[in-house]
Amino acid sequence: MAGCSQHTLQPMEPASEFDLNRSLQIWREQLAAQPGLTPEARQELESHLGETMADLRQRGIIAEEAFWLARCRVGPPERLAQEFAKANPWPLWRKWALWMATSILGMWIIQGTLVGVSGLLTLIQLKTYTDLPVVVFKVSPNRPHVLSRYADQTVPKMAPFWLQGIRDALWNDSVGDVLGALIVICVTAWIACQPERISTRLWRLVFGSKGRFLLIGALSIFAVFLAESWSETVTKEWLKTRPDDWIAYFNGWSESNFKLMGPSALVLLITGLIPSGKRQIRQTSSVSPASV
Amino acid sequence: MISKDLVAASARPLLLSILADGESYGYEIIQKVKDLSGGRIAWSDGMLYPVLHCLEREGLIEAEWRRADSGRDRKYYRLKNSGRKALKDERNQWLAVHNTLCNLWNPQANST
Repeated sequence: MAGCSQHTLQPMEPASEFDLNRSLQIWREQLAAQPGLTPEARQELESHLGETMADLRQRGIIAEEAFWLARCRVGPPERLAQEFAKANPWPLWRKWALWMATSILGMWIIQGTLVGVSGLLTLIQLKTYTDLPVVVFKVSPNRPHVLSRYADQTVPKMAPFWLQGIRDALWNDSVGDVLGALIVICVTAWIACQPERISTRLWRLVFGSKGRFLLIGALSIFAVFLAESWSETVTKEWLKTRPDDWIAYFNGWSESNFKLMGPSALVLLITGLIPSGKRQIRQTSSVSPASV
Repeated sequence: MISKDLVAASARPLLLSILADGESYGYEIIQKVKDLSGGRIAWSDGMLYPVLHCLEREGLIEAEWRRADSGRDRKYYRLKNSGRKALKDERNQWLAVHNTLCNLWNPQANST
């Protein structure tokens, strides 16, 4: 309540400048930007804000003052989100899992498109010289298992190459990728669900700073690739399907996967920028100490 | 003022006890706690809801959205039968703690 008492010491703005609807909208957006606050929880908090404001207005407090006091009593959005997450971490868990899954799917599609486009470019280059069956070995020598299936195909069959690339990216390494992705999802979600006990600092870093999605995005990329390479080794040992391929895979791991870092980071950024952008509203509009 | 930890620990029996008297909604519950405790138990308003949702998930209370006469939508909570049983257990536990402390702090008054 310290923030509330500070507010009364500040000179009041003219009443005509206060727009209740705009202020409510900003508050709603701040709540919506918090992970773990379900729409129903937000609706309930808004109902509570309305009750408090109505009560304060009945006591003769002007609309602006009533809004800030009510807002202050309900509590800062970040703190609310933490309390809700402590009581029920599942919505947060689902959000994280969905976010990670979307990122990884996007990563696969970009990976497939890149393979496909580069293959198509090679194909166009080769087609100017010959219409004979094409052996595409220049596209990505680090991933021969992706390309070997095209070796005996003729030029017309290669036309929808990028579609095949997507399909390969989705299916070819699916066991290892899915395992790796699952490991990352579980670990990050587990950390996200343990705000106080495991590491309060980590929690604040992730949910309290502006660059949380950038940081988590970058860490996720590395984590996905590390987990992927580890799980692929394990699954290869288990399946024994490509026993001669893993050395080539690890030799080319850094080169081929780091090429994907850029687009992958872009996907993570796009998914992360939406809530990040909403948070900016709070930072530019937090003129009241009630937001503390 | 009562310490934060004690306030947090007492939230559950307080909510169950208030709802045992009849259905209520968040804002009204907070006002009741404030009045009954003479202002000594100060809940941060927004922190009440995670506890209510927790009780709802446990199946001790149930909730329903309704429009009040004021035109505002409110989520009303009411106690279920399982909640009454849970309240009985809570009551026994808190009374046990209360009696133990009373015996420790004022043994003569309790022995007479």
